[in-house]
Amino acid sequence: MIKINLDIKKLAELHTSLSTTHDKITAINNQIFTKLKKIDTMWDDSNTSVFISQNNLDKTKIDEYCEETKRINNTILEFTNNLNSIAKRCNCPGNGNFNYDDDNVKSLINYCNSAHSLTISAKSKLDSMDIPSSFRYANNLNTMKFKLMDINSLLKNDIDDLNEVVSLTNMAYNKIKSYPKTEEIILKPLRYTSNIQNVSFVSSKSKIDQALNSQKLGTSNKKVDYNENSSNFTNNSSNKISRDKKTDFDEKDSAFVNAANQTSASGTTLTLDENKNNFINNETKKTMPQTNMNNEFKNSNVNFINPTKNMQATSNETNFTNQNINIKIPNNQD
Amino acid sequence: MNAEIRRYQLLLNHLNSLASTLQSSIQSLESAVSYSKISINIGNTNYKRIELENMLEDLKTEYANLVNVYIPEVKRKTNELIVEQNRLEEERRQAEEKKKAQQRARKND
Repeated sequence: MIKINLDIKKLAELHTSLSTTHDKITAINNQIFTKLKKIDTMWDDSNTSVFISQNNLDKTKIDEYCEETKRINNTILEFTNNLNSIAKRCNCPGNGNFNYDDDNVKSLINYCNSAHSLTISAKSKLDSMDIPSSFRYANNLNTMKFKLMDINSLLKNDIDDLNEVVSLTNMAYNKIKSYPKTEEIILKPLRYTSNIQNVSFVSSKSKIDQALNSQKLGTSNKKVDYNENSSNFTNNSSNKISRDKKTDFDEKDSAFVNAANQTSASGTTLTLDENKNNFINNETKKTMPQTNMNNEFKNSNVNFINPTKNMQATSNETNFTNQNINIKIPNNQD
Repeated sequence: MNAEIRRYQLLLNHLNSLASTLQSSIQSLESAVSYSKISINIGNTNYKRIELENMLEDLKTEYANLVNVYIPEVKRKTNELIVEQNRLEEERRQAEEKKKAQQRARKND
């Protein structure tokens, strides 16, 4: 049986807060996914596309969840309005409290019905009485009859009013009670196409291996496609990677690479003398003299460090700068 | 005379029965008032409590009049009628006695 004990004003406040919260969550949801979309195909492999499509699915789920919570909140508003209109109908002052006990109301109505039928019976008895005209209180008995009729009709109205309030309250309550619970959102964990746990790790390893391989004598004529321009990653944040545009490493311009690709008749290992490098930077931001630029290569610390899993891009040292290159992933995507 | 006494006696029975019905109605209404305090309370007001209390007061007043005034009056009137009837009966009897005594006296003369 229904028992309601609440403050309608607080319920209205709850609805308002939930509305505000809902709007904020919706906004945050949109912002998050807008930002995620900007994390572009930095590494350009099949895992990234899995990541993107899963994100889209997740966004859809969260959007649906937001819509569902909005509907629930509208139900709360409807319930509040229903209770307010019942209170108004009862001509009760609007200080907010609403207490309703179904069992007790039904007992109340039963006793009113009982009183009502008994007063009808009393009135009937008076009707059928033979009152001698000589009886001193004959008129009084007549007056009593009319009084009982008044009471009867008032009682009848009160009973009707009570039944209506019961009905309205039950309807309001059943409406909100029958509203289905929102399903939990379950966002699936990302599934990668390869067994390697770290997406970007795989990508960078493959790229670095490619670059490494291109340095070996006669091993490959493959173009080292390690050109920043080919990546459509755009870092617009203030946390720029330490590599500047001026280190644009375009293979065809680079005598460094060409030097590396030269074969030696004797088969000896080519030693790259960095001081002989005549790499020309065609960018507007020209580098310092070449020797200095090489030092920059040498001294630069490309800090891509995985804070939780300190994975190195390669177990081998690269031949670019004799530095270890570690790849940093700001938010581990496992 | 007998007829009127009978009327009043019937009236008394009816009024007693009426009182009993009113008493039951009052008890139901009292329970209703009690429940109205714990059923619907909106804006710190018990819905319908005041209306029911007013009706209860009216019924109690009617009941009090019935039991304290009208029924006693019926009883009083009934007694009065009975006493009157007895007195008349006695008068008639005495008149009869007197007449018979006079008749006997005339016979003896």
